[in-house]
Amino acid sequence: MKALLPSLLVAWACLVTLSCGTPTNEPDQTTIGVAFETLQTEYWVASLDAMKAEMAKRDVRVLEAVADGDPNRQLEQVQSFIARKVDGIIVVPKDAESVIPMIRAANKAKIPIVLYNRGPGEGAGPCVTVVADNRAITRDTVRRMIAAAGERSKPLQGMILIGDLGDSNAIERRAGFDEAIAESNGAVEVLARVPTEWNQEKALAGVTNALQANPDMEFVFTSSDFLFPSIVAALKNADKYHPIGHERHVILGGFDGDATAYRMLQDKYLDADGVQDVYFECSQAVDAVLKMSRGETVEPVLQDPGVVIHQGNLDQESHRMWGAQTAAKQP
Amino acid sequence: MISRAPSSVVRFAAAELSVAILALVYVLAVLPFCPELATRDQAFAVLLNAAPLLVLALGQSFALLIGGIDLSVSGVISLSGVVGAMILTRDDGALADSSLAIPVALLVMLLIGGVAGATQGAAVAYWELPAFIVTMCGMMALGGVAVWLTGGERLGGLSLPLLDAMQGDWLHVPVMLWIAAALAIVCHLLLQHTVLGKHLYAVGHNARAARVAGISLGRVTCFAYGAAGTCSALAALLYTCRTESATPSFAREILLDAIGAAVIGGVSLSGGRVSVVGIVCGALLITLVGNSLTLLNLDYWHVLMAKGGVILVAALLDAARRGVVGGRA
Repeated sequence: MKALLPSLLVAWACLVTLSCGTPTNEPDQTTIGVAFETLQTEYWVASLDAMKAEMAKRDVRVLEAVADGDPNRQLEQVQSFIARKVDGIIVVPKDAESVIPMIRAANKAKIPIVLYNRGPGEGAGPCVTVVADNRAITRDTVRRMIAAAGERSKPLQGMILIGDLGDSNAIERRAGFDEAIAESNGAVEVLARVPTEWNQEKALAGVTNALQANPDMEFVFTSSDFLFPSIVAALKNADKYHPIGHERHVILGGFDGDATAYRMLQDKYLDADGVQDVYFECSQAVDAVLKMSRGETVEPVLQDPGVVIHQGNLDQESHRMWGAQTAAKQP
Repeated sequence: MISRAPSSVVRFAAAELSVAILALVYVLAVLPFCPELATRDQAFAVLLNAAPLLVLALGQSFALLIGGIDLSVSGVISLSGVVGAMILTRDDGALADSSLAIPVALLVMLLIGGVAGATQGAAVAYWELPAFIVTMCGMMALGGVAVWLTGGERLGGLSLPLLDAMQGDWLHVPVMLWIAAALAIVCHLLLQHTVLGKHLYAVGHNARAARVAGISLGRVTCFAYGAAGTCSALAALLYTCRTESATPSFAREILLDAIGAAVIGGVSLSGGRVSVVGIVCGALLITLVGNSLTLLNLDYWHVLMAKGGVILVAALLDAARRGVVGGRA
């Protein structure tokens, strides 16, 4: 029995290794390490897929790692990429501060590093950031939602679902929401701010409670589309989930551009959605890291202006909505 | 007639070094696919990555030794990390321009861990509440305070002298490794060579018998959880200096790694058994699995599968090992 156990361990290690495929080493092939903070939502999955597709088009080998929300683990993964002597690194950091030691480690090893979706804090070394303008896109989305209210009596009773406040994107989206509300001259009165920590269950409980406390709620914005299933469930329970034009329709808006939001736009339940252009951002990130690996200079910030998709431009702009393409692949 | 009793050398190897042998076997198994693992840089990277986990696992072992558990790890790390950062940050820290910033911040961080842990220990001992519930509440409450203090924002811009000191080397060995090694030695001496250590074992073996023997369960329990909290705060210092920032929502999965390292190292979940050497090897093995599978370009989910497998096999080995030590094999 005792002699068998170490063998079991070896067998397990080999099984995992073989089941996942061992890496092939082609010395002349460019290799890029891609470190994602999480794959928790469709957006990150779509981003990873788009990035891998971009790399495949350019015959670039990808090393991928996911830190599951732990910046310390992500630092370890970046160090592993450096140990493998990759030609470049793309990081989706958890936040602006924890990525600084990763940038420093890559700079020390003279390996170019690109940050995707979140920028670095002050004092970071040389790097390139590809990022959406979260605040502006959210502000424009909420403006569009207010415009969709038309002749409804004001102020509208409103609610925002806030993401993890440790996430700079969540903070920027909240700020964009607040800016749009502030400039609306009292068109919306925000009665509920639901903290979700990017968690479906917390979102469902929070929206349900808010609807019970404020039965006339008619304006809901979520900081991420992936929370829509919870919002829809809570609205249905309160008999408030109706299409645009219905007298009990709740004005809905979101951010990301995922498949659920696309279907809700198509079915006329969603008024406006702020969309990050995943394909643009991934293409920019891969371009940047490859150029830097060849010694070329790249602008330090490459910004995705994004787009607000609503009922008025859905047909014209849906090709820029990554969720439309994800939805087409789903049964 | 051949004796069936294992020799003392075999017993020691079985009891203390079996995890090290496992780690060696693991390295040999993955080395052909991952030759970088044998480089000096990677060896140091594994040791450095294992340091904060080792500190956490050592702390957790105090709670496990008396038959409890400390789930408040992520809460303590979050709160002590952000409070330390609020004192230390270069621009607007409470003691930003003072030479006292670093010692005060370190003291406050460790105090937060120790006081939070001892308070939870008191609730377990004197109110006779289940440790699982008490420390789970601690995790939520302490994490909540950390979010409240920071508004949810991560704090960066830490004191450069502290970062330089913690990220530097001493005698060509990273300072963080010295800290983890020193803590391991202190824990070993405390557990094996002091009266308090014997009391911890006694409570873990049989709390009722320990009470009859005159051991104060309340004090021992408060100490065990206080030590666990202090170690979590020390781990917070290491994590904060590694990532150069403090987060109010620290990854809760780290708790599972810490418990996994302790269990792999031979710590009994039912109390009464701990081995510092085993915990060191357990932390190394867990880190080694993570590092090597990342080098092999495997998905994080596969890393989790492998970790689960390693912990399972280690638990099986532990069961067999106890048979050897008890002379039943």
